[in-house]
Amino acid sequence: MPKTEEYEGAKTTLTSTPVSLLVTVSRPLHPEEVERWFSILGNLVGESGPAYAAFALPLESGQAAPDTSNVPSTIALYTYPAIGNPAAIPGVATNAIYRPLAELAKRLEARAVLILTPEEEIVDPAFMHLLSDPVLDGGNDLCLPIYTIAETDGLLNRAIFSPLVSALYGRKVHFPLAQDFCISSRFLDRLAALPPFVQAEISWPSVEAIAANFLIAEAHVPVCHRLKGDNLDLASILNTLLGSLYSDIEKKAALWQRIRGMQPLRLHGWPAEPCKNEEIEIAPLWDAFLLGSRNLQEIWSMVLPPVALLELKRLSRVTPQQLHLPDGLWSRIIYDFALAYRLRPISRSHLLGALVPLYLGWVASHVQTLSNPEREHSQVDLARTFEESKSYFVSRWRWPDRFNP
Amino acid sequence: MSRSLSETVVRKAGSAADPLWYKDAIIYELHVKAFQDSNNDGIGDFPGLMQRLNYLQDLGVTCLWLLPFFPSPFRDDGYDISDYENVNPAYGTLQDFQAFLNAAHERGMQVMIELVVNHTSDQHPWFQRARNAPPGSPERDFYVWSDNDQRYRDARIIFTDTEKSNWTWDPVAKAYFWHRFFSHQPDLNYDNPQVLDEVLRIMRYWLDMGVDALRIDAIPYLVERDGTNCENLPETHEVIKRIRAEIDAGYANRTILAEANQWPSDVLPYFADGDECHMAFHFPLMPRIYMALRQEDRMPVTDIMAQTPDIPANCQWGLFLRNHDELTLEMVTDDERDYMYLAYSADPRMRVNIGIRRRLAPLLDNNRRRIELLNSLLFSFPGTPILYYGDEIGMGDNIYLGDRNGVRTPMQWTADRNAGFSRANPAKLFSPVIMDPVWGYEAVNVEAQQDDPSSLLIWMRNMIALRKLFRVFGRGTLRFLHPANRKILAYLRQGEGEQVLCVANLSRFAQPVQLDLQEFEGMLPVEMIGYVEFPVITKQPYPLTLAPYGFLWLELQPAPLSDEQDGEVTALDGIRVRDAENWEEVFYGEERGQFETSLLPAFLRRQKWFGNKARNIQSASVVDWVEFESTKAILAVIEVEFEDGKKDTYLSSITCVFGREAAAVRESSANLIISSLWSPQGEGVLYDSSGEQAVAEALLELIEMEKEVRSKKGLFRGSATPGYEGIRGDRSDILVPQRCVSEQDSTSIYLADKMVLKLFRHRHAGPNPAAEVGRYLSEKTNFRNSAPFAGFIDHVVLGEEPSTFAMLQGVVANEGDGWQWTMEELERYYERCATAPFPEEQLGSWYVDSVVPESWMNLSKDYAGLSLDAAEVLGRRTAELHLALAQETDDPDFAPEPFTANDLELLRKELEQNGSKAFAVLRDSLPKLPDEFIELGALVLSRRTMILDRLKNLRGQEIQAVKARIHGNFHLGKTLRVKTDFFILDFEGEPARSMEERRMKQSPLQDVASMLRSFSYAAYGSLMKYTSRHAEAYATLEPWTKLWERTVSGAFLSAYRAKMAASSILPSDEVVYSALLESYVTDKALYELVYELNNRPSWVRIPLLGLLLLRT
Repeated sequence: MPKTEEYEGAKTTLTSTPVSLLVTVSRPLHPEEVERWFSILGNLVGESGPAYAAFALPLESGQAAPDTSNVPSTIALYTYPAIGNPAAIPGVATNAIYRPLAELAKRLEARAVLILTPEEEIVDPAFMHLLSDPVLDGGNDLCLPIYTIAETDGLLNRAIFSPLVSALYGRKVHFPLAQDFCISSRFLDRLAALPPFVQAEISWPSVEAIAANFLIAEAHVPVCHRLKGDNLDLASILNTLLGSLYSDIEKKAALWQRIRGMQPLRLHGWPAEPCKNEEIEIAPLWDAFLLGSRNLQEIWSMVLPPVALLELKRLSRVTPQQLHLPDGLWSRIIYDFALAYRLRPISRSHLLGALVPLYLGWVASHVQTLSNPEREHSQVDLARTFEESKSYFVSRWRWPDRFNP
Repeated sequence: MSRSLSETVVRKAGSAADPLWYKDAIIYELHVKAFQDSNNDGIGDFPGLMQRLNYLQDLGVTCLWLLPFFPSPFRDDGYDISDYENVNPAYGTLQDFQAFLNAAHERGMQVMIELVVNHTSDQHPWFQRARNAPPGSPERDFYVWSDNDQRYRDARIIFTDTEKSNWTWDPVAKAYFWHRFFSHQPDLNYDNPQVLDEVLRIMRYWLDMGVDALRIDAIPYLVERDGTNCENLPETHEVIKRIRAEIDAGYANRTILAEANQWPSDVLPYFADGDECHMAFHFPLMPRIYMALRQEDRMPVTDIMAQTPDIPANCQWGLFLRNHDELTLEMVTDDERDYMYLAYSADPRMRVNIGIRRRLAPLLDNNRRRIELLNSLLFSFPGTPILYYGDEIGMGDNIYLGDRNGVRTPMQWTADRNAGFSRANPAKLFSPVIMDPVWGYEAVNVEAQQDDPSSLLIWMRNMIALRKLFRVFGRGTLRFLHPANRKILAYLRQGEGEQVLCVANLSRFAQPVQLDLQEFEGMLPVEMIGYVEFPVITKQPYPLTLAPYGFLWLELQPAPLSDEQDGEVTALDGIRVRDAENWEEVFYGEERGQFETSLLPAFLRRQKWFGNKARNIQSASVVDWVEFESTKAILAVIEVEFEDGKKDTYLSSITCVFGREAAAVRESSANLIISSLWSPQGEGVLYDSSGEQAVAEALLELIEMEKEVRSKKGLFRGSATPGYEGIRGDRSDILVPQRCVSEQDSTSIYLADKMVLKLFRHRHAGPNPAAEVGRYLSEKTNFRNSAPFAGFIDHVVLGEEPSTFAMLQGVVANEGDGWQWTMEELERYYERCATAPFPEEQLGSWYVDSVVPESWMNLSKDYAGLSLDAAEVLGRRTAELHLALAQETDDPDFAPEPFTANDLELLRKELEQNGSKAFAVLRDSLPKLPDEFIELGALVLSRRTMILDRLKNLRGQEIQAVKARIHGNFHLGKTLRVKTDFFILDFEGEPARSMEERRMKQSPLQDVASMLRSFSYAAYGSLMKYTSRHAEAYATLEPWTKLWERTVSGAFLSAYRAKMAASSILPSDEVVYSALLESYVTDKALYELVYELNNRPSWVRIPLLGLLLLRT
């Protein structure tokens, strides 16, 4: 029977047996969710999984510790104070989460920590195995999921995060800001030791792992999981997420400018059938782009070179049916905005706000492409295009002269 | 004794996280009073400086060096301090300083202040107390007193413009006091222990506030002693060591910078063993950069850098173009000083003391390209760059202000009143702002340049950001290249996993250059500013053209792998092993098929040392190996089977690493990767680790300890020579590999520039002649003009003669190889001759054995005296080598033998055969020759019979001579110029010949003939280069070329024969001697002809002329 002790000001149950895996969730759970987690975690340990696992449950201030009578004997339960989420985007963590987890993992001698979003589709032992096995058994330091999301889902990731991170840091990462991932204790220690002034910043563990030469793997997980930010303003999301990525790019300029090529990560599991695409109406997206191209020319002119502005101008004249934003142009736009973010010709929030219509234009173009029956033949990996444009970015970064083509 | 908890000292950390932060810093020197005035009193202050911190952060500087800001009577711009623990009220308060310090730290900037403790102001309370105290009292002894002005007479006067003596009479004390600078700056007396105690207390006071660095002013002059020049004394170093020890004991990540205006070798003691100053200025470099620019010649820079010693790993040079003082000319010769005055200070008002009081931009006539070039040198030379405020916008100076105040005028921020520096009445300003039409603040100011994307300010900001991306600039090594065009300064910065080639054109006109980058064959230069890929480096000289005052920074990256290689090297389905610990199973396990037929052959084809690239490899397998205990590496014997069924054997060190180490190898050494490896423990790479420190150490240990290690099928055996100890030095010294150079068949690893370990990659049975001859010369002869031989490693297999795997030699400090030196001399020769008419006398056909007429020699001496002297020395050294190799010995491999008539006959047949083949090649190549050479080629072909008949002269000769081991591949490139002498290197013989042929005994005249051809190559090669820029000069200069070749060859031969005269090695009969020498020269020229026809048709003129000009 587990015993109880204080940890970080919260009630803690403790087993004397070292655990292999520490599991935690990225937000406090409702009481009804807790029961279900106990049950799933009980199924996780055993023959095909770790012998013992621990569950670290974040608690809101004043929230009562859960009843431990139903905790399986192979699971040790811990609670710790939940870290506030300044990003205000569900599932997106800041670097502050790592310190308490690292301390707990050290204490338990856990070899890996599995960080999950407590969503319905995630609470599945098979899913947990897929993410934790490459770390526990495969010698990797970080295992990121490849969700089987629909082509109409996760578009910010598809349009910007994945190709940008992959091209700059030389490793093809499908979901660099995945909300579910497994991390080795040694890499966790590294993240926990990040300087205090970056503790409140958004965590990009994939980038940190590449920067510090930790081993990364990806696992195909049959989950249609996506960012739960539907009710958030797109400009705020861009400001928070892309802003944090651009800031990090500025800090790591000496690193990514030295990386050439792009290599795939080691893959685990098999890709499942992707989820079904949803219908997206192009017209409002396109209207937003056209509105932007009328109203934001002044800002775009500060950021984009003449040839890109000309291409956008041409684009604004086509019909929605002819709509196609070329990948090369899109990659250069994202790079030009990264450069402007560094040079601050205008405030950064205004800058990223000016990217919104362009992004919506990309979405419209993407949706239009999906409806094209011949798209299988024409679709090129966007990350590869970003990689091809990387020399453009490096040269602009090193000599940010506005007098360019 | 262990320290108890209560005794543990907590060292107070500075604002920087890295203890070596100063190595990567960009330092900005400024005067608080001249930067920004916040309270409109006409004097800059700390609140004003704080307003400008964002500007400095945006510029990219990382450390602010503040000139003295303490209370002072200001008779030496604040270097006359009257209170060390306060802020001058005009600049603000101590609280203001603390606020500034915190604000700088918040922006990631460190702060350096001045510790002016050689002297104080005469207004300092210590001096006032001292002059009134009785002689001999502790108060009096704070300064240096004397009853007369005759002590320390050997100390020079520094401020020659104002001071006549270092002693000044004080009527109050009724004694003379000592001062190295102005007479109002009495020197402190460090023989009084209380002085140092006070200085340490002051230092702690500022360090406790959070100051990151201290610049110690006038550091060489702290202590005085009679009979010395009172500079750099041992007692001074004791003081500095105390200061440093105090810092190390109580503080972390703090730095001291020495102001020692001395020669580099004299500055070295200020670094000591890394336990005195962290940094010191490199004073002599700065004037030489200006000199090199004005003379359009790199020599002043390369010369001073050659005199710059290595410094401890934790130390750093501080580099600058200008500072708050005059451009000091103390560290130059009298001639150089005169030149600098003439070149850079036309108006005498520009001079002060021993220097020139001008800012950077006016010194360079406001030429933007020159300013950029000099800054590019500042940012790329080894050291930390220090910028002087205002130079980033090209501020001017005011030579009509006194002392050095002309370069200390207010910073020019805007075109508004007082340049935006202050809103005070202009008359209140501490100094007038610059107002003339060219340099005035309305034309040159920060605001305008911030809005101008093409301004110098934006250029500086971009360059600083670029430099900060590459740690190699702050931490890497420097090595100069020696291209023939001396207007080009080319150097390599290597370290931190980065390699950068910097090339600068010191000339006002565009310049071509060809760089010898053979050692980087296969690498891709990427221009760093625009990230532009240049052509991949090959064995051929790398051509570049630079615009006037242009410069290039090229990062040398591993070449991008071809699709085929990419697939082989990075494929995720690399070799799989069951256990990372037993990765050797790739050599024998189930998956070795792919390794042997695909991965290893692909790796070999990429290696420079793999000399069989033209043949198709069937398979390559590791047939023998041994693991080094102390490393993860193995020594592997690789057997290569070609499609034609022939086999060759190669040797390599192979290592397997996983995880982060593997990623690092992928990043830095992709070309060395043999294969990816997959194991249950993760992903790894298998790569050639021959150039790594651990491997070099293991091989060195094998030699040093004379160990044997058993491999699967044999053993590797190390042997040290008796001279090893002397060459190695202290065994506790770690010999870090400095560079690794791959050549055809071999790889050389330079160990701390003390020894070179040469690995013979291509394995041949039996000894390698390079090791065999090198060892013989070192151990059995008195010949000392070759690299000292230290040891070797044999690979021994049962039933085979041991094969040499590696040899170890001492490194000979040198001025470059003989070829390089000769080419530079010839460049100067042609420059001298270009305008001189050649005498009427015609130079007829050349007889290699003939005495050169005295009139020619005299003429040559006037223009090529150094070359003649060098040729004589080389002739003597060559003779000494041959005498040593032909001395009597019991060693059958070296014992000299008679050169018989039969040998002569065999030689004749061989040479005739070679000759026939060569003419056949010429005949076939004639239609393909460049137009300008067809006539010459046809002429030589028409003389085929005559030339071949020359070889027949060897027939039927009776000969009395000796054959012995010789160099075998003797030319200027195999010699080293060591001061005025030559060393002879590389005895492995002609690589195209078999090992057996290379070890055969020959007439030494073969070497002599080879060197004569080398002189010819140098003379005409240099002429080709020179006339590529001055085409019209060819006809004028060709007679001068002949003169040089003949007189230099004559001097060489004459000295050689004189030295050999007493021996019976050369044929005693003059006719036979001449016939033999001419035959060898002819054979060599024909060999060159074939080589050039096949490889470098544009060079074919040289052997063709060589054949035509020989006696027929």
